[in-house]
Amino acid sequence: MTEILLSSLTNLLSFQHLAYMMLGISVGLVIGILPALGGIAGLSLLVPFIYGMDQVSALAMLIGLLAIMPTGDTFSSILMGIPGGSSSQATVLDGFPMAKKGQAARALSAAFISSMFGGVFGALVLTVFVLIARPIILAFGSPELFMLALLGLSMVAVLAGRSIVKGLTACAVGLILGSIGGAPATGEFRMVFDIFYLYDGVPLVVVGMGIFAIPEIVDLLRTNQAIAREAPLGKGWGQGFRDWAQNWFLSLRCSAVGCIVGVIPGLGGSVVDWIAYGHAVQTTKDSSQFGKGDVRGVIAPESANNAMTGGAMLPTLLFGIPGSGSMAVFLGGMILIGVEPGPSMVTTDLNLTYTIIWTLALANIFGAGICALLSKPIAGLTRIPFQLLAPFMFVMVSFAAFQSTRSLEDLVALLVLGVVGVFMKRFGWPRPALLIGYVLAPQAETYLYQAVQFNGWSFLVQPGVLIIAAIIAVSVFFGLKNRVDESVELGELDLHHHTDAEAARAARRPQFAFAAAMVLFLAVGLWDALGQSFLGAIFPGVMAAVGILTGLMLLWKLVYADRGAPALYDQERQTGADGQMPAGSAWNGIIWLAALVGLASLFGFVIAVGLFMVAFMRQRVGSTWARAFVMAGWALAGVIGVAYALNLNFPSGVLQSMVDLPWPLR
Amino acid sequence: MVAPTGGVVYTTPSLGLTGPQDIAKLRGQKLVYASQGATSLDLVPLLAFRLMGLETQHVFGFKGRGDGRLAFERGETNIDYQTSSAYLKNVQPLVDAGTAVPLFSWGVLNEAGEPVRDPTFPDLPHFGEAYQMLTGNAPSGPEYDAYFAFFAAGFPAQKMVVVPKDTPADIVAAYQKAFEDMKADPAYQASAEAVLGDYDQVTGALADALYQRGTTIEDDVRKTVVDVLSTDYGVKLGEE
Repeated sequence: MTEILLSSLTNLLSFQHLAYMMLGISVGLVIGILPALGGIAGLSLLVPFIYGMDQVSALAMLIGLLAIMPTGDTFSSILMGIPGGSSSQATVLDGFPMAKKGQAARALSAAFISSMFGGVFGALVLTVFVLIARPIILAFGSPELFMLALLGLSMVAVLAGRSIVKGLTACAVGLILGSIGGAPATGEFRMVFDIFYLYDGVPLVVVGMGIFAIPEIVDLLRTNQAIAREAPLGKGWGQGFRDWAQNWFLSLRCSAVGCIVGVIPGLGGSVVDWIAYGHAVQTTKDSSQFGKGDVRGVIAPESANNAMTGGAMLPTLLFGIPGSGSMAVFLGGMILIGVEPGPSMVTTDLNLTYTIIWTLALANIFGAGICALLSKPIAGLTRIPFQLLAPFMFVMVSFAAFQSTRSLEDLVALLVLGVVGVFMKRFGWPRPALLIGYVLAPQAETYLYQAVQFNGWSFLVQPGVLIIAAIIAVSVFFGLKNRVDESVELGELDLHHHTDAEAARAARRPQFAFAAAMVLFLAVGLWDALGQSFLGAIFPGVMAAVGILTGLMLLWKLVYADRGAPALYDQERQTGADGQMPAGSAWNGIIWLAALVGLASLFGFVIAVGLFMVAFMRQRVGSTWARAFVMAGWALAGVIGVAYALNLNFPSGVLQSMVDLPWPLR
Repeated sequence: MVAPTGGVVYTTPSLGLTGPQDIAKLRGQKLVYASQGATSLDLVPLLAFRLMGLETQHVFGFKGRGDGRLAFERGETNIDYQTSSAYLKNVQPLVDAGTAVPLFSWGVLNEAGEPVRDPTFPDLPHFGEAYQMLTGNAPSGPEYDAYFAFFAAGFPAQKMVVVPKDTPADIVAAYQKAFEDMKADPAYQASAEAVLGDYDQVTGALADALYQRGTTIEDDVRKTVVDVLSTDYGVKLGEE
């Protein structure tokens, strides 16, 4: 074994192979930095070139690209609050507040060190684990997978924020949102209302962007300041490294968690960051700073997501089962170069397996190094006045959202979810709870159904299930003890400005209306479930019913709770840290986004971007015509350049259905 | 051009079988199959097991045949099928290790459009033979027609190269010639079997025939399947 290990390492260290790996890393970095263009886009770009390459070079290139993804997408998570990829969502929670405090460089360097450590640790574990992995992977049947999905859901307890009823209701909304589309057990369609777009469910990227990115952009737009305000960028680079060194044990534990979650097929990367984040919170004595810029909230998910990439290789290599979309493309690439995954990967083809694992480690080291070098100049983005950055971010987010199904409805869904996200942020609803519910709904439902079909309800007393149940109990216990609140300190509610009770009641009305709308959504979910067959109805029905119950409790509190109760949190009625009331209106940003979506539906995306940029610069920024056109030119060049390189299409509007236009306008 | 593929149904030795000849032992045993859904390609095994009178519980919600194979290896299911390439790479080792028993292949269509043994698995009976071993008769009747229609669409005519309707005839001819040339290319012949299995890529008139078979269905056959799906599996396909 040692011999194979060394020979594959020397094989890899030749100039040619390293060069191909660097090529993969470079492409991966560019694509990783752009939000929502993940491994699938990158691999699809490279796979056509691997015909005729030797196996080691081709693998080095593809893995170089895959390994850098969870490192590169950290940039947009930390600097702009846009979840860069499905496994960097939790990084936003603390990374972005750090950037707002002017600690972008510190957060980035801590993230890259953690990524590198996670990646290398993952590779080390895999070196040994690959030989014994097969029986362990086979030990996870549907019952165990269902319990792991529940473990993911139990993280809601950590992330529920100040008001637990809001957290549970948000989670239920997420679960119902995630169960839109075909039911796993029967294939019948739920909550589609004859809208073709909903038959496949709402795409993850659209939900992530709508719930996380849009509210941040909208809020920042209100103040017209740079993301980092007046705060100096700071050196930060060494500080980030020291932060990591102080928390090396946390990083180690989260890497292990990431590795394990990656190895188990069917759980997927979209929960690993939340589990790691939840773990960090549960095991920290003073968790009061989480959600407001605690560096441990960056270290934990970033250690885990790189380790996960390694772990996720195992089911792909040993069983030929792709654990994710990008793994499916990777699998296709492997077959193109004549590597057939299967049991032989640990026997006759063990050298290839080790090549893959060690490329992963090397690529992580190089990748983190490159990112660290880039972090200083890129962190400068947080100094740009936000109103100059905002239109670009609107364009980028819409373009990314549109890549999910390439239909205009992506943009409409983004707008709707964006509005929901803005209100959730304003009223202190925990957005991670909704996202976790959304991500885990299909998995929890599928595995529960399969477990009951295979074993009957007796699956609940299987040893593996009981062990995971115990872990869940511990996790919930510590979770409730150390809850994370992403909203600012609950200061004096300004109700004392109102002298009479009537005005105080009126102040609660917007909050009541939003909560009522959420309960209404759940009620529609319940009503829809009642029209389905038993198997298609049971899961969403029960979840909606629970959500309605907690929602009603919330509504009751909103009417009768005393002032100062956590459920009453409302950002608009809250004095900020600087003692100022928030300026401007949230609707301003939403209207600009709506304008972009509306223009795109009329004239197609490219023309819409041009008009939107010029209008924004003139109206909002008040710049000269010349400057407005230059900015619009930059945005168009960027969007068209990316689309051309990756062979992507644009949303088309009414205009395109009437006139046949040449490519970028089509 | 039409690219055919095949597949092999296999089970576990714990049901008392040692090879295809023991298929009758499956009768009366409770079989569990990991299905991607009643309206997916797994409709073919669903109709096949039904036709054979095998008592099969279809557990839906699997994301692919690989997922289903994993459930089989975990012992959650006891009957499964894999397409040819996946079978060779991932199930053959299980057969060699004595943890899986092949039953039959779906078979391929000969030039006359009749099902014959799959050249990739010459030792395995095809579905029709297996049915005969089980019941003593060759399969026939409306349910067999229903199975056959979906089998033809799902396997021998699984993947087709098509061009838009108004493509000029010379371009179509150029494509057809290119496919013929590819089949004659020694480099193709050398690597085809390892990658695609022992299946001829079908061109010309035969491809047309397969295209017809794979994309048309008799009204009564269609009704049979729709009825089965709605009464037994609660799937409504929007027709009365």
